[in-house]
Amino acid sequence: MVARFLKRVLIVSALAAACSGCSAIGPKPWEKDIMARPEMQITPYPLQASADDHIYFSKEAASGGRGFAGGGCGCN
Amino acid sequence: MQLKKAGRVRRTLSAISATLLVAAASGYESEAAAQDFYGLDKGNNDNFGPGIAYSQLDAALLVYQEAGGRVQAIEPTGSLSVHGARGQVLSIDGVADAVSGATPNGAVPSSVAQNFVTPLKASGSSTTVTSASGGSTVIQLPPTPGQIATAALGRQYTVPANTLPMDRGFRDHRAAMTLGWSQPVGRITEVGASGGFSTEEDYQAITASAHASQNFNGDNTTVSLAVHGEFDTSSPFGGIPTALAAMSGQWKSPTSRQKTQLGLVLGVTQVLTRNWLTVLNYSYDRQKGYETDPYRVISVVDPTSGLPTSTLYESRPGGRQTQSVYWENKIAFGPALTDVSMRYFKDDWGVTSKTVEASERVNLSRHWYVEPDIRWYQQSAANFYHRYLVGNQSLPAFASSDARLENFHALTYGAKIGFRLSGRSEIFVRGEYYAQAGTDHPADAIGQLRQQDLFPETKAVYGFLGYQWKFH
Amino acid sequence: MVLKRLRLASLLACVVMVAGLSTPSHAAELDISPYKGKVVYLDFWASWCTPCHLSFPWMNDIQQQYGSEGLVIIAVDVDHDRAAADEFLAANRGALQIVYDPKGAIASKYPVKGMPTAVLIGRDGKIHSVHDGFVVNQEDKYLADVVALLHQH
Repeated sequence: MVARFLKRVLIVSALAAACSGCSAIGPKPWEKDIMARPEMQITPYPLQASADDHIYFSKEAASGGRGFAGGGCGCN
Repeated sequence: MQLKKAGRVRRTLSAISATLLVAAASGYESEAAAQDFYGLDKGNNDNFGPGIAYSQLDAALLVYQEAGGRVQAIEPTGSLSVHGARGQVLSIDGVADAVSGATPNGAVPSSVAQNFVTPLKASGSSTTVTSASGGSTVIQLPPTPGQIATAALGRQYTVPANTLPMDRGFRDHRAAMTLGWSQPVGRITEVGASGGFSTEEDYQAITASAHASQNFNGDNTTVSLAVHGEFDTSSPFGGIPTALAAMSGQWKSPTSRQKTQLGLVLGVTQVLTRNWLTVLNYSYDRQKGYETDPYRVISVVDPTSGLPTSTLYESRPGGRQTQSVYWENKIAFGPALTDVSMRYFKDDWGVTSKTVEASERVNLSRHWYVEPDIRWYQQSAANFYHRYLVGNQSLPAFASSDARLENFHALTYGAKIGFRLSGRSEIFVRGEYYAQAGTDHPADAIGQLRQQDLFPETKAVYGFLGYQWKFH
Repeated sequence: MVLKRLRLASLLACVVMVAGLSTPSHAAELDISPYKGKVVYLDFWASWCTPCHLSFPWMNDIQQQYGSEGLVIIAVDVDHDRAAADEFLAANRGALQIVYDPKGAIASKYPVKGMPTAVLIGRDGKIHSVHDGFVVNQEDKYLADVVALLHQH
């Protein structure tokens, strides 16, 4: 079960790696205007993201993904 | 056109040659004019980002309230990050929270009133509480075999008929701090480490993490690896109960148990086009140690009437392995920014879960923006999840009635409104509604349980007020 | 006759240069041949690039100091959004010569790896060095490269 899951992960990451292999992908250095916007950062509001993660961690079985799970919480 | 001068350049030039210094100095009478470029106090100087030194302060307040008088929490958080011109980042994060309210204890509702007993005050203490808190009373515990004559006291609370059993004495405070550092090292784009500490009245955690990331392909691709370790100590009020032992008001031993956790996250970030960013993360996490919720109980019911006959402490496996794949996309179109993320999660407790989250930020003006969001979550039950145990059957090794381990789905929706005060500061408020939905009336319910709501779903609203300030 | 033509051509070049100084050029292609014999500091920048806010005052400064020795700074703007560029220039332009390159037609002909990138072209019309980015406290090094080129005759 875990092995099958791992295999799926490997396929996805291989695809991603293949994608990043072709250097034609992505804008030129002078086309990064939109990427330079603060809201295009991966986690532009870190406190908001960690509050969400904390709430969901205390109410659901699954956690993490975006970054690390948990962070010291008995969370009853 | 009048030339504006910069004080910093003067220092640079002086290093080149003395003659230049004379020439330069002659042109630099006006320090006031220099402010226009380097003084960073004028409108133009709201300039923050890679390659320049600045600091960012984030402050926020989370107010969380569950329906039905359940948990409420207030959580102020703060974060300061200091960015150097060469990509160095020092960050300090702090969180404090106060949690109170009622929490389901894990037992099933019953057609008759039920009593539950938990330990009171310190071990062996005979101090009485002056007033009954949260509808509980102080009782004299029946002596256990071998116990010294001075009988211990316990706290008893009564749950009326046809009501979800909840412990109303729940109250906790948490404080946590994390310190982190990252910077480019040689040809490696970024290397960083962080350490943190979190303390609650009955729970401590020490965390450490390290990460490295590398940019490729004209900075359009970032591959990163992060490892994370955590050491937790659970010191529950009343001690650590024996797995599947009867609930009692006696203090138990040991008084604490530990859990260790090791994890990694492998991530690829790819800028696909001028306006499309995609992130793919794989996470693996391995925990070992005490996973059980020491306060949570499970009912044993009569096989025909469904009436609870006894209440046992829950029991979970001594380890857990989790894996998840997370995929996020950020796509900008004019003033709109769409963020869609998906997560697939699986663990060796039998839980699989899917999450889809979407938000749409629209910049209405230079100052205002709105961002509605929606989140859908679904999970399957852990293989040791039992809403209750049946009296005539043998006890399983592990059993928990924690709703977090049950099959359910949840929906969150809300919106955020932000206001940029200037190029350097922003204030926003966000309101969210979260509702779980599970099987309230399972087909195999026994006797009186058919009349009870067996999934104690959480419904909550929360508000988040945030402030972000960048400065030089 | 030939002399006359040459004089006319140099006059025309002068007019073009002056025009280029006073109003930003709209050329999709950048012709640096009129600057043969001068040191050209070709700076690719954008309003959204944070270090560009720091490089402009410095470039203005060296332009003023070394203009008479033959330094010509041409700031090539690669903004898609002209309004953003104009806003940036209103505060930062100083006396620099600006060329707009919204589609990156010029940028793609030079070794531009990030923002900003400065391409140093010697009096011989050849690229001598490239500065990737503008790092504060590296101005000494940048200036040394410029001065070295100015001294090559």
